[in-house]
Amino acid sequence: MSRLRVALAKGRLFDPSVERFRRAGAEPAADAGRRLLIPSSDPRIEFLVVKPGDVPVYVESGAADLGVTGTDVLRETGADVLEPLDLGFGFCRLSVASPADTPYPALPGGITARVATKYPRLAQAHFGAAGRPVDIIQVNGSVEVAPLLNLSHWIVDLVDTGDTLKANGLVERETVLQCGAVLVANRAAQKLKLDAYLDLMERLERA
Amino acid sequence: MSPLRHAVTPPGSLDLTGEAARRRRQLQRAAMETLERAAYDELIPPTLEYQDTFLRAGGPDVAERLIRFPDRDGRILALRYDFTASLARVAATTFGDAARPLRLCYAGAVYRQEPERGGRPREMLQVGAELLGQGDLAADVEIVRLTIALIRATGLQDFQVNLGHAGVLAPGIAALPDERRAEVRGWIDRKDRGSLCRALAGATGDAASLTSLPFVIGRRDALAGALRVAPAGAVAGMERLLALDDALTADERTHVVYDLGEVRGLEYYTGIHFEVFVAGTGRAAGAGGRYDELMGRFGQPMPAVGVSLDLDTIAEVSR
Repeated sequence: MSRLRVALAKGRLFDPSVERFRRAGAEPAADAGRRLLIPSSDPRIEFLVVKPGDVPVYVESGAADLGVTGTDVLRETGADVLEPLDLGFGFCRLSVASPADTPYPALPGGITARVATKYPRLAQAHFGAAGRPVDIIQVNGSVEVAPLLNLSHWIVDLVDTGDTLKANGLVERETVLQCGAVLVANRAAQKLKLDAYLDLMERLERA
Repeated sequence: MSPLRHAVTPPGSLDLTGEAARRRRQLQRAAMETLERAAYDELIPPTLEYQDTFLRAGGPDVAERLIRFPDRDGRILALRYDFTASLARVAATTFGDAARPLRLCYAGAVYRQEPERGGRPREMLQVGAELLGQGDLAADVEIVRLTIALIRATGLQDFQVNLGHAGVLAPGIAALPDERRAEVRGWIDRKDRGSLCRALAGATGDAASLTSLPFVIGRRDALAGALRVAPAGAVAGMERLLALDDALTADERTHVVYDLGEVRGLEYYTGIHFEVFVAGTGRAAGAGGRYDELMGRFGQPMPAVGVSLDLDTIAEVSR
């Protein structure tokens, strides 16, 4: 049976991903240190740990056969991959938020809203579908401070508990996308390594 | 003018030198020799066509992937998106009265818009063949056999042809209400069995087949097993695949996998369709199938079946 390479995302999805693979009989080696490729307790499965935003591109290109990613990142990149399994963790939502003390959605003075986000494609599509022109500003972190610093009027960002929004004087206005962790697979790997793919899929479904 | 310190090319454009260039020339030569032995005549269509030629052949979805610009008279030109459209145009005009079937082949670059910074080139080297005017099983077998011979000619051993039939999922999809088809096809395309089974939990009749048929993949026995759960409308397509399997040699069969889960191109293909996968690559290295409605769009209805291979993908793995 062929060996499968699985890309895991650093950050909030990492621990639950490792736990799921451990229950499926493929636990990543703990002493991996700074190695790029991490062997697992199953010799047919190895792991690759990358930044969350990079999982779809690794899997789409075939650099990894499978990956765990959030649907937020997956839809933003528009990667052409298979999505065989909803993993049932990492739930959150991508939402529009704006300062509590300004009216929403109409801004005073008839100006077009500037929206700061790490998800420019999803934000553009959301406002576009609603027929509301906005100006998107892409930022790579600390999105919630953008309105405080007058970088933008609104933000589009992931919301879990809502505490970060509240701490920055922001109110959640509308949901763009419900998100969760999914298993993704390279289209060619599913065909070329079919036996290994089906075997792992079955173990993950049960785990 | 400032000195040219480093070459600058547009995104998705590559220079190929040394071994990379030699390899492509060598692959192209091996493929064209194979096609010539199989009695396919080379056709060299122009690199520039009116965009209408490609839209006529491929439908409106092709529009956003054309690289196009206005001609001097204002008509819109496109760089060659594929060879099939041009071959169909020539077959319907220049060869309109020629004896059938026509066996045509080609080799050269095609140009397509790809997502920006996706790491995909906008120019790809293709080689391929079209068998026009013959709609029977023998024509399907000829193209599948030719596909295997072409990949062998490139020196690759570890490859497979994933073969399906456009008629297999069609009855199930046709049984769905119009507004649900796109969503269901999306789940089939992404192999998301969970969503598919939840959405079709109460489905009866032909639609119920969509929770199982798209996941049938394997050798002849998988196909034979699936025949027992297939809706009546899907049987003819599956029997065509079984008949094709009968016609292949044992050696050819080792490269063929029956895969009923492909929903891409269902508007285009009317019979068998396939993708070629080569070990060591993350994407298909070729595709083909039967498109009997294509020639009618150029005013000369006749059956058509063909294949094209992506030599850049093959060059990256073969030594």
